[in-house]
Amino acid sequence: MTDVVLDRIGKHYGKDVALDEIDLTFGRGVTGLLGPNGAGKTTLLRIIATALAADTGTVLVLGQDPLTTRGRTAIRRRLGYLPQEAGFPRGFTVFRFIDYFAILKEWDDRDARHDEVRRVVDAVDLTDVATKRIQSLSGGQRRRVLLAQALLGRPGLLVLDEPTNGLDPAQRARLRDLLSTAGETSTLLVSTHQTDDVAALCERVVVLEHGRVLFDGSVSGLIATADGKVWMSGERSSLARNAWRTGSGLWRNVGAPPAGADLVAPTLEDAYLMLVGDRALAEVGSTS
Amino acid sequence: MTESVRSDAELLRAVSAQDEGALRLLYERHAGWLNARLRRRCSDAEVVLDVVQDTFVAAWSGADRFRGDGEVAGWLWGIAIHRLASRLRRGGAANLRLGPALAERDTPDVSAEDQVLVALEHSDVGAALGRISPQLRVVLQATILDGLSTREAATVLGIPQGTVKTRLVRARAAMREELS
Amino acid sequence: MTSSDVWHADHDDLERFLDGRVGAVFAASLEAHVLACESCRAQLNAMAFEPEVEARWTGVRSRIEDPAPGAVEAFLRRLGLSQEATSLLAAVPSLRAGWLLGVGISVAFAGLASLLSADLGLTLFLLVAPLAPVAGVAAAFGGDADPSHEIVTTTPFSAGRLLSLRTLAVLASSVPLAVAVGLLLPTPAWVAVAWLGPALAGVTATLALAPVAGLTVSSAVVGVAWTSAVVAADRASDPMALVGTASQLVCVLVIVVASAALLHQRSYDPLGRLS
Repeated sequence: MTDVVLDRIGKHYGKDVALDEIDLTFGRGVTGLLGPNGAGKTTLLRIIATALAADTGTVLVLGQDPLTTRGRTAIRRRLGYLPQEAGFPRGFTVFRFIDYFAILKEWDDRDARHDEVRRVVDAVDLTDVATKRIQSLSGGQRRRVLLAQALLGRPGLLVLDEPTNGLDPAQRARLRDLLSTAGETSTLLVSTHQTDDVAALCERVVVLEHGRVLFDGSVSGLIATADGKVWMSGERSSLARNAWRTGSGLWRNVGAPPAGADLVAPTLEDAYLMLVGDRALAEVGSTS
Repeated sequence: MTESVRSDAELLRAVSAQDEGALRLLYERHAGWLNARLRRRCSDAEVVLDVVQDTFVAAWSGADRFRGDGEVAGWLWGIAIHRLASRLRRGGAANLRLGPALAERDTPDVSAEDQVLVALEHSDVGAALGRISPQLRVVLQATILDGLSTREAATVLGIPQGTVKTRLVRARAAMREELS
Repeated sequence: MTSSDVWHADHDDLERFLDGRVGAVFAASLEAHVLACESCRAQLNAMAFEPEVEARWTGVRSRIEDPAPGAVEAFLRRLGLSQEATSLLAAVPSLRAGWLLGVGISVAFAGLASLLSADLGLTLFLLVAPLAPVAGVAAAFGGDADPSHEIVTTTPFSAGRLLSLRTLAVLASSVPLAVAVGLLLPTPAWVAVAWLGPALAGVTATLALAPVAGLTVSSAVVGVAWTSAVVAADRASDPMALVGTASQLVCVLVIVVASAALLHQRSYDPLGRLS
């Protein structure tokens, strides 16, 4: 069962190609979207969230076509969206802001609406500050306010652009908990820079770079591509793609080993760096 | 996450900074006994629950008015009893049944044991209080013990304000007599 | 007076107290003790915390989270606006006190200028009054005005409804003061409402052009166009021409064309994001 179908989707801004003929499908569960800055993750999420129209290709979200008004409205009724950045109207409290969006999401019955607002406020642990003005909150708290409005109505499709931005480790863990529960019954698309969030939370991962899909498959599958390519040793290899000294004092070498190194099991981060690093190197090679 | 237990005063300070969690904690600590104590003044359970709710809403907006002197418990009781009084004034006191503390019934303390304990708590005063007529005792309860004004006490008890004043004078006289 | 270090209420005492099986004096004694003694109070509180008391916390919460409306909102509700509608309007900068004050001052300033010279006052008034609602509409939608507009776009709330609600509110808030000032000008009374023609033309044109280049740009275009017209009229020493018959006819034409374009737009998204 696929909730989102993207067929040869393209988007460009002037000469810049943001998305280059992408084919993707998403279904129930949590899919992570990884990629460096400028890879096109935000553009892709905006298109799926009906905030932007693609230039070419067809999009089907929850079986609806976002290019028609009726289709868009139908999609939006089952959608929760957290953009990468958003501001707040002046003077609004947490409760009022989320209530504002609950109204925009067609909750007309005030009592039911307020109950729902309280539910999502509690879900993101902002109960204690529900009556405070958003401008007096920390960055992480503001992010959670935006997350709360996305959770209104338990949407069938949750599109989250960097939801863990600004959250401390405890809050990130709490968020993972929340999202994995949601993933049992809904389709979640989560874009992030944090490979450990993807590793912990997602069954499936898509890696984007320069508007193209580099990898689309299971998390374990991506990790497996780095099998046999990660070593720990006392020194750094000059041939390694990436190498850094870890907390234990040893060097982690990704790509090629120095002499006498020990092979170790790869992490998602290793695999991601190898994948993205390759392309970066290939590009450097092609322009020189 | 270990957090040292905050005092009532600290919680109230947090409430004035709009910390809803702190109000919740105060609610957990005080709503129970406030409800029980109010029920002794008014038998109507729904009215008393409303007053408890109102008390905490008032505590939320008025938290900065607590000057840190005395217990938060006493402050909350003050809000609660005055709320009840104005509720009774608005709602027509005649329709609401008074609770046992304000009922003009002869209520000698139940057992000899109680007499002893009361004596420990209040020494002569408690014994004296038990001996004056219930009509007078009730007026003392409403004004001296609960802190209502004569006007509020009049509404609550359903008697004219003048009567409250005269009974108060007689009650004081009766107490003085019992204690001498 | 009390010997609370010596005596504490035991479980039985508290139970009898809660059941009403104590005498009035003992009860008064116990109540006084509980006010002063934290441990007895905690014990009594735990025993007395019935489910109904717990349930009332939701009531407390809803009262503090959704407090009584401010003066402006209360006024709007009296006019018959639903709480939901006032919430949708409260998010808009051009309907907030600061903005409205700014508009009021500009219009009043124009009116004051008429004390210096009737023509100057009139010119300034005719410049400011029609542009105030245009600016107000521009500031009611879109990224610059509504910081959370990207999320607003993705909600199912009818774009047309939101558009009408906010536009009408902008007009309703800027019109009365301008009309009042207009009546105070040393010009014929009909000038006080004649400026509505250019105002409506400006607003509808701004909205109709918004999908093309964004709301900010379209309002700027409209603003520049009207300002040029005012300057030209001033140069010709004939500010009244701005609200004369010919001008009004042009305005009506603009209103009709722009409204048709607005109504015809199937995929209208006033936030201009779908382009």
